[in-house]
Amino acid sequence: MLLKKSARDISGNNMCDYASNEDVALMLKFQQGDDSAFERLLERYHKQIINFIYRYIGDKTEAEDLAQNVFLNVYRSAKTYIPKSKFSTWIYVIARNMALNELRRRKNRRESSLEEAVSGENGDLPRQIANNSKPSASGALEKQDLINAVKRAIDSLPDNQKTAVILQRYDDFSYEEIAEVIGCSVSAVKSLLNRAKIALKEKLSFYIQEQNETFR
Amino acid sequence: MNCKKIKRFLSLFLDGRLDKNNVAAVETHIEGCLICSRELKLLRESWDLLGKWDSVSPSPNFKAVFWQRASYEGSPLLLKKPIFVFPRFRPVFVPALASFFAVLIAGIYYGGSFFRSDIQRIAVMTQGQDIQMLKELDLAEDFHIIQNMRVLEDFEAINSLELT
Repeated sequence: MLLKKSARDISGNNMCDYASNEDVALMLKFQQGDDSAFERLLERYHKQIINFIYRYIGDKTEAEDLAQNVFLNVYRSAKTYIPKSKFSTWIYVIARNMALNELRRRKNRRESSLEEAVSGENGDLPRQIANNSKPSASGALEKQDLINAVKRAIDSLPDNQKTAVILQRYDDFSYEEIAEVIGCSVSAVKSLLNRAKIALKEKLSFYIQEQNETFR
Repeated sequence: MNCKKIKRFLSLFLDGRLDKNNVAAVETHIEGCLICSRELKLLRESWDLLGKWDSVSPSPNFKAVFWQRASYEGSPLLLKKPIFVFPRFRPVFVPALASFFAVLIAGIYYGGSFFRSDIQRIAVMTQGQDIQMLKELDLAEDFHIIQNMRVLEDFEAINSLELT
C-alpha cells in the first residue's frame, strides 16, 4: 500500500502537527461549539493584533476597528477552519492583509486630496506639507521626536520589509514565521531584513548621533 | 573577507543567525576595521531605537464590542441550507445518469398510459355495473306490481299487448 507523503509547511513541520498547537486546539474547540475557547484566543491575541495593525497605520482607533474585523473574520471561519499553519501565523496573515488594504485605501484618498488646492487670501494656494524630519526648534531631542522619526522610518519601508521589521522587532517572530506570514522563503526574509535595517540605519542615523550627544 | 561581504552578514550576525564559520570571520574583521565596526554599531543602535515606539493598550471595552458585533451575526456554526445545490458529478457518471433519467422518463410516460387505460376500463366497467344496478333497482321497485300481475302468467295476453 502506498503511503501518501503528508504536506509540510515552510519550516518543514507536518501539517498534522498543528493539531497539537494549543491555539489551534482552542480554535477546534470553538468549532465544536465552545465559545469560551474563542474568548481565550481573543484574550491572548487582541493586544498583539491591535499593535501590529497600529504600527502599520499609526492610528489606534482605526487599528482597533480593523482588529475587530480580523477577529470577526476568524470567528466566521470557524465552520470551515482546517489547521494548515500555526494559529498565530494565520491570524497575522489576516491582520496584515487588513492593514495593507487600509493603507492602499488611504493612499488613494491622499493622492486625490493632495491635488486639491487650499483656498487662501490671495486665491488658491498649493497644499504644503510640513517637513517634520528634523527635531523641534528647541534643539532638545524629545522622546516624541524620536517616536515620530521611528514611525516615519518604518512607514517609508516597502510593504514586505515593513512587515518583516514589525514582526521581528515588536512581535519576536522568527525568520521562518515571518516567511509564513509574508508568503516567501526564509532566504528572502533574510534579504528583506538586511535591506530594511540598512534603510532604517540611514534614516535614523541623525537621531542616533543626537541621542549619543545628549547622553554625553 | 572584504568589507562589502562583511556588511552583507551584519544583519544576520546581529540576529544570531549567522553560521559559526562566518561569525568568526565577521568578529575578526570587525576588530580590525573601524568602518565595519561603526556600521555594526549604527545598525544595532537604530534597531534598538525602534523600541522607543511604545505599544498601545487596547480599549477596555474592546472584547465587549467584539462580542456584540459577533452576536449580530449569529453563530457561525449554524449551517445555512442552500436553496439548491447543483451536485458535481465526475464525468464518468454522466452516461449512467443520463441513461437513468431516460429510463425514468420513459417509465413515467408509458406507465402513465397503462394506468390511463386501466382507469378507462374501470370507468367503463363501473358505468356498466351502475347501469345493471339501476336496471335491477327498477325491477325491484316494480317487483310488488309484478308479483300481483297474474296477467304475466297468461302468455297469450302478453303477446296480444305487445302487438298493440
